Amino acid sequence: MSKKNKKVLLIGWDAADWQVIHPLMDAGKMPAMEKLVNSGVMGNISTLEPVLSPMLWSSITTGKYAFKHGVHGFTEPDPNSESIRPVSSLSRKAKGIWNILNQNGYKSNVISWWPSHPAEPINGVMVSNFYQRANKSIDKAWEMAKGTVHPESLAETIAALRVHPQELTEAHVKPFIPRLAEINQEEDKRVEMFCKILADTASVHSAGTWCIENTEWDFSAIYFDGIDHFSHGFMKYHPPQLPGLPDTHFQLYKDIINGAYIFHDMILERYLQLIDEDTYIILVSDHGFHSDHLRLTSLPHEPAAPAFEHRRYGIFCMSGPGIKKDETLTGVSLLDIAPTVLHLFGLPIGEDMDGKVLVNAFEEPQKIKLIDSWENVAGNSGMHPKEMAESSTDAKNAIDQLVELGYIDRPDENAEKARNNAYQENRYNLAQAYIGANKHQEAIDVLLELHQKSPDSSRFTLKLSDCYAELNMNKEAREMIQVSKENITKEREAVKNAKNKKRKVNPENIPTDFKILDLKEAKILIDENKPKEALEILTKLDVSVSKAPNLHLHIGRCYILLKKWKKAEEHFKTSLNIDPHKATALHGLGTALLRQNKYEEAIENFLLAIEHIYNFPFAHYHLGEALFYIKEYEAAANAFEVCLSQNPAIGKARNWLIEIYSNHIQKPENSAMIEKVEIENSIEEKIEEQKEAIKRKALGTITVVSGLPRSGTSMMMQMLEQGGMEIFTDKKREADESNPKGYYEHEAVKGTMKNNKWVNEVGDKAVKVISQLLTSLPARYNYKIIFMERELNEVIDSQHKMLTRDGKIKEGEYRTGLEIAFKNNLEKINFWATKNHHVEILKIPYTAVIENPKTQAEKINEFLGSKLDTNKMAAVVDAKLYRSKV
Amino acid sequence: MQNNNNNSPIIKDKEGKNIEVPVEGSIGLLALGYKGLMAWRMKRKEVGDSLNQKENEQKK
Repeated sequence: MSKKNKKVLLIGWDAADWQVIHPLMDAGKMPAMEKLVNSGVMGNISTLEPVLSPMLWSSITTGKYAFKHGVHGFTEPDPNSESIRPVSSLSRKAKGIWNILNQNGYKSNVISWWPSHPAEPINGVMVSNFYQRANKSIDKAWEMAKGTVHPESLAETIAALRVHPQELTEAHVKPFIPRLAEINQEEDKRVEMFCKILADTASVHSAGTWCIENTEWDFSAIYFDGIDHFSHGFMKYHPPQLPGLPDTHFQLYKDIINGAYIFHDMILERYLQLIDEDTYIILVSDHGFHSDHLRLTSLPHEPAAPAFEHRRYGIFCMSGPGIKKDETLTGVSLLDIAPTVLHLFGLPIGEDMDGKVLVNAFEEPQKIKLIDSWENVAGNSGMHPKEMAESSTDAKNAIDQLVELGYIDRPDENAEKARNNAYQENRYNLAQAYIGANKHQEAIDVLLELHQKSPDSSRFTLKLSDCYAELNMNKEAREMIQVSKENITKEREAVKNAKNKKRKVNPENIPTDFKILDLKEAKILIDENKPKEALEILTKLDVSVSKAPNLHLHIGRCYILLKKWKKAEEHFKTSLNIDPHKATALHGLGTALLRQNKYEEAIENFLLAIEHIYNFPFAHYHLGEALFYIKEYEAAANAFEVCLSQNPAIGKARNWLIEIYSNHIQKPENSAMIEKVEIENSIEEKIEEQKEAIKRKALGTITVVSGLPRSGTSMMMQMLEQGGMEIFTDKKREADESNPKGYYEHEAVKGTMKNNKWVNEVGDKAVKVISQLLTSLPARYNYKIIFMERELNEVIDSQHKMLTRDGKIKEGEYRTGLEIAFKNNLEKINFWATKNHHVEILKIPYTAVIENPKTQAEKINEFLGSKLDTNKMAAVVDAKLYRSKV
Repeated sequence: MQNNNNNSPIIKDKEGKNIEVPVEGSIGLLALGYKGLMAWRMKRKEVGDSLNQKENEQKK
């Protein structure tokens, strides 16, 4: 018996893409899809890096990134032999949806999930991904690999439901290839390939419908790889006709892609007939597939090259009881499927899962339950025991299939080399998974290992340069760009000289070109806030338009930094003409419009960017800003809240929130923050508590000593050090006559206006920042600032003496306008401190410290949390150094 | 196309009328899942049996 009436049917269509579906739906050619869309929610689903299906479908079922679930590619070294094997159910280290359901008494059917061989002994039926592919002629026995079906007792029944490609007739092929009769199938093997994919799809559907109709189940997951395989084989023939494609080929095969989608719609229709209205249905793809002018005409010279044809957005639809109708959902990720399915069953979500429950899909969202991790929950999950091995013969067949599909090259005959290659590819995929999850340091660790083993591979050095740049390690990033240049040159030469070319390779595409390196250098310059230098590089690039949406994206970013909004707008639009789905360009365009006070248009673009990539904190931030300006305060507050939830480091969002809650929304009970404050409090108290709660969202509090140069900041640093605080200094500037006890400075602080990332390294230490740099401190932290005040004449006199001693100005030569400039600066700091809620400032007069060090030390100690030794602090003060008294 | 009876390979339309299964099969039958497949194979078997029967009779 199944456990409850609630059922969930999860259908996977590998590579399905709205770009193909929408025109077909509009033409009434996908009625089942239209029914599903109208009766539930739909939207884009963001894929993960790398865009490789076995990794992605494992993330779908576990709700976890690949570095947690353990499936890192198509193949892996076989621990039981000296060769390699396809990734399998044994490769997955984390529990899939069906394993968790198994532990909770639910029955599941799992059909052809990738990877799922050998079938897991779950409570229900599992038909593995080794099920469908025929590897022998129809007149020979079509054996089924052991372990394909669980329970074994159903193996014979389910084996009989497979469709052999040679069983298909003209009646099956002609709807896809109407001019079949004109093809010489002895020479043209494309029809044979087509029949294999069609037969595979029919086999999976046959097993799927059998399980749905003949078993009791709570959860069924049926995976179809047909659209992906049809697309890799035939998307190049899909209209509009690609330049250079012979017309005869186009005419023969142009209907296959639409036909494949229509066939899948008919399959979907069958499932809609078989389920009742209480069953939830989720239809999902793991990524899309370029079907427009972004189709590749030749593949890069890289393993798993067909994955370059994949688009970043797949499809997502869900309908069922309590699910909203005919609505679009934004921000859906592959990682959200497992948490959402568990939630549908009323089960808690593992906090170690990387996805979220799609609460916006529900008419009345229910409370989400949490559990630390399902991995630690004991009980029969239906997973294989760890020691289980897989038959090497079956593994070989599966590898042959992967070769045939172009996903992997034929494994090297030298078993050791094949193992090393598989290991290397999986490590590279793991590094990419880390990059996709913004874990750049972890990626660097893996990439450095690969780089050491293969120093001449540009793939690794290019990715290393990206990771270093993300971590603001620009020196290392540039070194890697240089190494990449050398590597690319070597690789081009190697391909040109290769005797046995397995794949037709255009040397211009190997493995990338130098223009990409220039783009990388420009990106680093942009990050360094050097837009003019970046523009110099970018405007010299002669990149063909179809290949370089990023070129215009970067140029747009340069113009944003130069505050040339109109120019920025033009380039972001050009980038979007090339790729209308580029979320970063949509965000850039929105920003350019926002700065031109075109708020409505800006909002439209930010929303589109968010629709494509929900986890995009700056898009939410700028959306909040635009909404604020059109006085949509609650919506603006929501946008800033989302921004902060995605990246607490964007401290400016906290300031906006405080501004909104303090001055524009006098109903704090309407905001998300109110859950954390007492209802009995007055509005003012609530607002204060909200401010505190928002402040707590900062990354931490940093102690800063500031003031005009020569206002006693070094003395204050020394006091803090003696009082027991650690000092953030590189000790590069040595003590001299002007500061006999040292400067207590850090070189990185001087460059704060251009680069303030050093702040992340300060931690609990005290740092000296002159007053002119204070406003450049990132708002992601709270600051406690001890601000030294000294008579301006004394400051100017002291600075003059110091410059004279250093020989930088002549004695008696005074610079004019200093007093006004310093006054302006101090006024600016005062204004900044009152407007910014992440800043607390304690003003300490220099003379008060000289005259009464103990009292001032106590004041400072109280400000910093009373952990310092005030006697030692006071003992530092040397009144003899008070030399510029006026 | 639908089939309301779990054990029958007979294929019916929305109005419940039987649909003639073509011996050469069809995409519609494949899209119906295992029942469409079974109905098609049964049809092939029937036709094959009757062809064999005719051949056998001719031989006689």
